[in-house]
Amino acid sequence: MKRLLVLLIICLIPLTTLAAERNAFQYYYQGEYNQAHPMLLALAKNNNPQALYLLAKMNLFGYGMKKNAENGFNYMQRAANLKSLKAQMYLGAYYLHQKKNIKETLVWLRKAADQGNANAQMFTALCYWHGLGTSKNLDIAKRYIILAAKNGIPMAQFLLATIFLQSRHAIDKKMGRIWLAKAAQNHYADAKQILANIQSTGNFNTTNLNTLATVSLKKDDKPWAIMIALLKKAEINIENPKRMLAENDEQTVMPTLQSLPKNTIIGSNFSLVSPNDLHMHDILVQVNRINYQKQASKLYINTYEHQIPKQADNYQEMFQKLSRLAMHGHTPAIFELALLYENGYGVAQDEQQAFALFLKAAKLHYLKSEYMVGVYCLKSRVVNKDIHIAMQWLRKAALHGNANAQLLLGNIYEHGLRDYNTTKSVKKDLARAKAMYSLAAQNGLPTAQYQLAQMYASDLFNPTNNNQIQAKDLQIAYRLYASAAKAGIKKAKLFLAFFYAARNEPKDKHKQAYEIATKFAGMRNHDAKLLLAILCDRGIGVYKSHRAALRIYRSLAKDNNVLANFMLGTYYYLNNQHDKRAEIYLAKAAEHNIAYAQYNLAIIAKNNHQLDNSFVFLLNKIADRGFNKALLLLGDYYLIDDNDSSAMQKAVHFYQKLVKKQDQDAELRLGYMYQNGIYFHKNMQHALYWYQQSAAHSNKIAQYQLGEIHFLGQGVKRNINLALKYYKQSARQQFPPAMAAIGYIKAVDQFDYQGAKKWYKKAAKLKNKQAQKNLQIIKS
Amino acid sequence: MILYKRIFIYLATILCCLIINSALANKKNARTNKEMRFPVGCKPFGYKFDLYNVIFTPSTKKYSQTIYFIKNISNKTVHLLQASDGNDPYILHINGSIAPHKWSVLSVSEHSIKFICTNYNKRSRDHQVINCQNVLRICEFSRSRFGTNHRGTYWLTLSKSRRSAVNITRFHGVLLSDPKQREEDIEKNIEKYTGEN
Repeated sequence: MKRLLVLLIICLIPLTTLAAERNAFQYYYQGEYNQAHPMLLALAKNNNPQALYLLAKMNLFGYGMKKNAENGFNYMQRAANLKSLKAQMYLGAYYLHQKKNIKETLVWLRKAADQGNANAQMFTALCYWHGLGTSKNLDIAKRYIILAAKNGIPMAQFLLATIFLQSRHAIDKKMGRIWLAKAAQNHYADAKQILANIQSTGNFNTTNLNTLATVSLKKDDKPWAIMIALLKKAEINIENPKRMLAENDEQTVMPTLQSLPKNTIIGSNFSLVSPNDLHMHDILVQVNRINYQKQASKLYINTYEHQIPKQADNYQEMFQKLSRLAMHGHTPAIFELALLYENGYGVAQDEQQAFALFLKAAKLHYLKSEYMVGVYCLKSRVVNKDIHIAMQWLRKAALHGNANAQLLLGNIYEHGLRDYNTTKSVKKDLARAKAMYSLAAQNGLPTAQYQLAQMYASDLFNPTNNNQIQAKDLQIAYRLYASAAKAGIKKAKLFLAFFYAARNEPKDKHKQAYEIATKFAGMRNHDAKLLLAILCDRGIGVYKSHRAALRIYRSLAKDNNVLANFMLGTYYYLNNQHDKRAEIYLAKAAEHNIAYAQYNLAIIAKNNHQLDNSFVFLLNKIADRGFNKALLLLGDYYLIDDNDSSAMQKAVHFYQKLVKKQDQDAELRLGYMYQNGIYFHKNMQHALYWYQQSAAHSNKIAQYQLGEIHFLGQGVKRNINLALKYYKQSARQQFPPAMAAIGYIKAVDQFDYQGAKKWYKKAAKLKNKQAQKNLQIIKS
Repeated sequence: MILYKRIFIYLATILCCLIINSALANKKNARTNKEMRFPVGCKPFGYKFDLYNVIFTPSTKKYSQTIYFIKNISNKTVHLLQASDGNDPYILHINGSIAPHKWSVLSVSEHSIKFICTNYNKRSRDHQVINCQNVLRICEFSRSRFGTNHRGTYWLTLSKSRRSAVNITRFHGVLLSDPKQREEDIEKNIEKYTGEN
């Protein structure tokens, strides 16, 4: 038993030291130096190289303490002796630039080179190649040249090429040419020059190779000057650490990195959805949905036109020619002949005969005829109406690629078909309708393209309201509207204008949207008028005018336009909370199942201090229909009180519903709950998973959180490159805290003060206080 | 003491079972993963999924005929029906079907050829059109060489395992990658390899 206990304790010791190490580094990188200092000292006693390096930096920089160069230098030497690459690089740079002592520089940089630092490898190679700070040794030089060349240093690649090219063996020469090409690719001037010579003369002269690998120098130049010139030629930057050793023993005012407050991450927003908050895509979906519901079902039965070929003078002559060909079983001729009978061109009109001929060609697998037989059976022309036989022929034609049959079948499946005389019917089947319309649209039929676009844009294929599916469906709708508009369907052009009016579209598209909207509004099209009002309201493609927008909304509301009712109601409430018209207009819109109107009514109920029950009841009503915004608000509403476990359970229930629909906000909230142990047990792996999901769905706050986790090493191995990647993703979405964080990393971790300034300035422009403060510290 | 011994034996048996089970599962996974991969040299080019159709457009102009390996990744048999625009009456419809998780090989000598994907519904006795993108994985041997008597667009084999599909194609006399072109590629690769060293 005792042995077991001892074994257990021995196993636990490394775990506790690991935790202490992680805490110390987290405090340091968060800028909490006072808390980090004693922990780092404890770790330094156990010869932890990273702790020694950080302590050295604190002493040299004056982070959280008075500057003490002597102590700092001692720590740095201890860290370097314990194989801290950063410390070795620091000492190498110090001896090179401050002491101008190449011998001592070589001691530290050779150690760094052995750890794989490319710049140190090149420096070491140059020392041994030219005998600077040590005796000349080409073998050691070659070893480091190979390593540096592999790490992509162009001068090393060139030197390696010269070594190979001077060999007598053909294989070596080939290798030499390859390395020469690589150096030239990396823009090394000498390599380019030699390659150009080879290409122009076809010969290769090895005599002056050695002279190219050096720099022109005066006789009395010292080794240090030679080395600096060589490093300049090799484009290697071993940074001068002068800045770190400023003779100022005051405590340095440090830039800071603050975590995002809880309200920014999971704050609930109980405000109305303003008309201008709606994304253009949401408006397009609503408009399409309303239009689609209003649409009457009608069958698209296209017919084939008969045209007289050039060589025939009249229909009679044509009829005789076709009859002769048909007698020999020429299927296109049989089909054309049937068309003549059907229309009475060159022969007396005879639908019976026409059908017989269509049937004959159809049995010979002529596609157009298969379709026509289907149409005859469907329309009960000449033959008795039989839906099932009609469907068989139409299916046959559609599966063989006939676009008209595909369109008609799509149409039948979309609305369903019933023959009241025989009680035969075809059931409504949206999946089949979508498939058939897709085939017809791919065959270039504009009507199918427009119809399918409408179905995609009205979110008909996304019953669960999944955000990702909606985005994909709208992309397809855009493509279909564009091709339908190109083929001359005017309405498609109007819906394209909704896409053009999105804020992230370029200005010329905005102008185009305005032009299209004004053109169609002139034709008294309600959708166009609505678009025009939105454009005026947002100042897209036209000078911003809220008044003009309200005027149009009012005129549309008179005609009972549902979306105009929502816009007008919301504006009335936002302008004057006691305006009774607001609720009337919103209620009108809500009657037509406009979820945003119902949402705003719920918020108004809460603002009017009505019982919480009515607010929750109204929100639940739309949440049940899958309205994501309501689900999120309900979740946030229950999350406010994090002591009430039953409320928290409800919140999690709503968030989990949303994450199934890949909702980025719900994913962010779950990540935060796991990270901070709210409702769930603290679990960084789960937190990371949800943050990653949210970040993948372009949530800038989740991207920021991921950056912070990787920067501080919370539950993961510290990884600055990954942290920067996430911070940059967030910054690209104009998130100022992420910009400030990048500046902080650049300044504190990478000593890139120019880079830090650039990022701080960007964030400061967007009025980020932390960035403004840090920028002032850097400037001073 | 006896109780401890029994518990120890019991735990050891469970551990052994777990190890064997995971080893078997890994082996099975490795086999299925191998089956999922494209044959060596077969690249996912030369086709596009457009709405519900799949359109084969051979990616190289140098070779008049290419070969496609098509895998059905769904759990139902997929029928590929050639779709034509209907203007040409004498077209031969090259239809084929692929059993679940099997491979079929299509030889193509046209600039563009379009297929519709369907599942056959036994109850309604009709084909239900499905989105090809959801059920097919396709790759192309763009540098294959055919004998003069093997030209044309046709199904070379249907519903086979990956290895048998490759073997049948070779047995048929088709060189999956042109030896001349392969020599050039090897030369390039050697340069690349030596360059990296």
